Parts: sequence; structure tokens; C-alpha cells
Amino acid sequence: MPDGRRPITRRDLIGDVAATAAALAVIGPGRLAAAADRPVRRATVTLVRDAALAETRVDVAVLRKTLAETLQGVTGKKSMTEAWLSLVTPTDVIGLVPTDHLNPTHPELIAAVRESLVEAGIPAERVVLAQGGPDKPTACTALIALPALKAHWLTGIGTVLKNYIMFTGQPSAYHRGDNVKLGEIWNAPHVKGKTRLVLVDALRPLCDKGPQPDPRYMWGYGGLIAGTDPVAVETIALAIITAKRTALRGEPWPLSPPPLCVQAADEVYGLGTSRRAEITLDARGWTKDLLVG
Amino acid sequence: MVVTWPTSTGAWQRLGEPRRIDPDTIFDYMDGAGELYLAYRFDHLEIAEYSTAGEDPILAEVYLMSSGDDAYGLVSQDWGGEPVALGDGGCRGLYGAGLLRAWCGTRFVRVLATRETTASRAATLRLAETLLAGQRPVPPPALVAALPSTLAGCAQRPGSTVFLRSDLVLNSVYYLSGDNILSLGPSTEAVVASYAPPAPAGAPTVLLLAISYPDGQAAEKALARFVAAYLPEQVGKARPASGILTAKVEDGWLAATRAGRLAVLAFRCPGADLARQAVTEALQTLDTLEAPHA
Repeated sequence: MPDGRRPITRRDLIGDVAATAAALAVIGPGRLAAAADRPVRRATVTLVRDAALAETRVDVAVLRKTLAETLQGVTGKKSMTEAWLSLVTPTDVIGLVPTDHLNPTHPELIAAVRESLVEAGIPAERVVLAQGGPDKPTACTALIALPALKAHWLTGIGTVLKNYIMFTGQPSAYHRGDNVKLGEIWNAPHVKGKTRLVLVDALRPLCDKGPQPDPRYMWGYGGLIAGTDPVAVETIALAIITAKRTALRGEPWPLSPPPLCVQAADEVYGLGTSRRAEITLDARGWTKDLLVG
Repeated sequence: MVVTWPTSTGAWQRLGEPRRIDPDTIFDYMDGAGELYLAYRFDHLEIAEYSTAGEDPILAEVYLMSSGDDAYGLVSQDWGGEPVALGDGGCRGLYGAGLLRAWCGTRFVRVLATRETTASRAATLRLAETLLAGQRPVPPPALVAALPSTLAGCAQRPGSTVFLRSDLVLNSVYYLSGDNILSLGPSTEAVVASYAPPAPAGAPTVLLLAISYPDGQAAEKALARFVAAYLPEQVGKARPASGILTAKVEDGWLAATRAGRLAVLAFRCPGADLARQAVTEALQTLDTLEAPHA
């Protein structure tokens, strides 16, 4: 290649985790070495579903109830107020980071999060929408990632890790093969450590890559997926998308391109765990077609 | 030719004037999706929204492409859906769950009813007919039309043929590398198709990739780049007298060869012989498209 580095190819991805990790290690000079032998990490991901939320029209009351149960699962607190106050404080400037394209985050979910934060005692003016350029996270002391569950034609999956791409001010730097580096955005000084909760809108996911929404690949899942480890949440999201694709085709239908950014976020950027065995799934509510176990 | 935008379709009324989106504004309109249309030599796009009481809106997009091949390429991303005929001029579309994708001449049309109903389906089809009025169907790209239906005893899998020019599109069909290791681009034409081996049932399909470069030199250079990136163990080795390079890689055998400006590669083959046979047969068929080689 012109810059002398060896490109990652399909061949690097067929085999064991360590082989892929070794390939990921070459994603750029000066980056962290891939750590296939990294210490064990543990994460819990909460998934709460309600059949009523699988409908096209969102039942706001059911959504609020589901949000409360999701927060309870993540924090172990009994009420939504206690849960929020274990994640943020009234002095925080809290940026809500929804997705606004392809499969946008439901506005009802954004509203439910905002309202419940205010009910928990967070001043309304301290809850802001923070999707956009680098100034948005810079102005916040806490972030709540609110992406919707979807595949993406350039990155395989376009849910959690890709949700912060605009924070760089240079989204094109993460196009093509460089999308494997999406995890580094979460370690940028104006972003690192600010994400208190990753809450994925899985009410109506999109399981094929687009690049524009195709309703044939959207379905009513009626769920919220949440946790504090973005990679673990993305891993569960990816498992659901993958299982749905297999169910639709009746045979394996792998995402293409493969979602390399997920494993790289773990092995290269140390953001969390992408290893399913390290993730405890706390699944609650509606169990039909759960797609992940 | 100017697009004729009706003021209504069924009960839906157009909201305002259609908007025009050019290559330099496409990312403002569709963040993360514009690359696809640019990869198919998109000229511009016109969009309009229609609404009616009691129903969800209908969004219509007309993509004006540089060639009929490019319009075909956009449709070929996904051959799923219910085939529909549009008007009596021979234009065709694929409909599913409220989304109609249609193509005719140099136009690709995408009409989406946010919520599908009987009325929205009728309005969607009628609108597409109007938007494609005056367009005449064009044949598939020559490279696609010349693809053999069987290859080394393997049958072409229905709905697996994709016409493309970009590595991004190739990677969305069959990921090779995050880098453009086959030097694809607007001046290249390529087709990908899957072929199912006769046995055993469920065996991985053979994937054929044929690329037409601007000239033989570009094709040779691209194959050398591919070998360096994908088969580094082959670098420096003499190419076999047959001109067909074969190698066993992690997901089966592959073969690659070139004649003139045409490069043909077969992936995921169950054996070296089948890989060689696949590219040989493909080249024999596809090479009829080429002028005599210098």
C-alpha cells in the first residue's frame, strides 16, 4: 500500500479471535497493540422488551415503564429517579446523543429520557441535545448515548460506536477501511469518560445495511438495550442483528463489511468487552423472538 | 430530460416544489449514504414529499444517473421484493413493505410510504409510473448480460448478480479489504455473482468477480496490487504458464486471471481445478465483449 502498511483483508478475519486481533493491531502507527491476551473484563447488558412497543406507533406510557425497568436493570436502583441520580448529578450538563439518520432514534424515547431526568431533579436547561460536532460533547460533563439499532453499509453495524462519529469534526476520517478506528473517538479528550449510559433504541431495528432505510428489513422488536460498557452493548446489538438476518434468509447472512470496529474497540482501544462469554445478559419482559441468549 | 412531478398521487398532495440535490450536497441530504450514489456516477437527485390526512407521508426520490448501467447497478444491490410492471413502456420495479425501487433508462426511482396501506401502495406505484414517464428500458450492462448461467458445473444463484464500480459496493457484497485493493472506481465496470456447487447441499457458493478496466495495463496493475495485498506469499513468484493464478486461502481456493482489460477472479472454490475452470469458462464467455487483444 502507498503508506507501507499492510491492509486488513478478508483473510485476516477468517479464523480465531487472536488472528483477527493481530490484524487489527496494524491499523495505524502509534496505536495500542492489540491485546488478544488482555485481562478478563466483565459487563452486564440489560435488555427489556414489551410486545406493545413492537407496534409502529409508540405507546408512550409503555415506553416510560420499559425505560424505568431498563434503568433499574442497569443500576440496581428501585426507582427511575434513584437510577438517574446514580448515573448523573444535578450539576452535570447532560448531553443526549441520539441518531438522526437511516433509522433515527424515536423522538418519544428522547423525550422520555429528558422528562425522566428532569423529574429526577436535573434542571431542564442542563439536559441538552448533543449530537453534532466536537463542541457538543465539549460543552457537556455527561453523555447519554441514544442510538437506534441498525446495520450500516459502510461499517457493518452502525449503532453504538458509530454514534459519536460527528464528535470528531472529521467523519470522513472514519470512512472506508478506517471505520475500524471508530473506537478511538470514545477515547478523545473531549469525549473520554463522559458516557454514563448507552441506551439503544431497539423498538424497530433495521437489520440490513441500507444505505437508506428499507422497511423490508425493519421489524418490531419492542426493546431497549442498555449498559455502561459501550462495546458490550454493541456486541449484544450485533448478536440481535445477526440472528435476525439468519432468520430472514434461513441461512447465515453475514454482515458485509464485517463490523470490525466492535472487536477493535475492545482489543485495540480498551473500551469494553466484545467477548460474549464476558457479558451477562439481563433479559426481561417479552421473550418471543428474543434472538439473543 | 426533465422529471415530471405530479401535484398529487391518489389522495396524497405534493408538499411544495421538488428539491434538487447535487453531488456536492448529497451528504447534507443523506449522511452516510451518499457514497453509494456517487459510486454509480450520480448526476443529481430530485425529491418531493406527498401527504394526506389519515395516512403517513410518501417520499419520492428520482436519481438521474450518467448511464442506464448505473441505474441498473443501484437496483442490483438487492433483487428482493415483488416485481411490478410500471406503465406500458416496459419499466420495472421491485416493491416490498411500502418501498418501491424502480429503474428505466438512466433513472432510478425510490418511493417510500412510511406506513404501507392498500391506498399507499396504489399511490406509490402510480407516482413511480409518472416519474419514469418517457423513459425506455435499457438492457442490463454488457458484463452482466454476458455472465454464464453455469460455471464449472455450478449454477448461477438467482438474484445474486450485482453490477458495481466501487470497492465500497464490492465490500457490501463480499468483503475483500478495507483498502481498494482491486483499484475499482468510476472508470471500471464490475459484476459479482454467486454460483452454487451441485453438491453437497448447503456448500458455500463460488463467487465470481469480473472487472473491466480502462485498458490492459490498468488491469495488470490492479491484479498485481491485489496479489500484493491479498496473496503476499505469491509476490515474486512467476505466474503459471496458463496465466491463471490459483491459491488456497482461508475460505477455499481462489483463481485470478486476465485477458486484455478484463480481470476475472473466483473465490470460495472447493478445489483448485474448479477454481481454474471457473475463471477459464467465465473468461471465454466474457472475453467476447472485448476487442482483439494486442
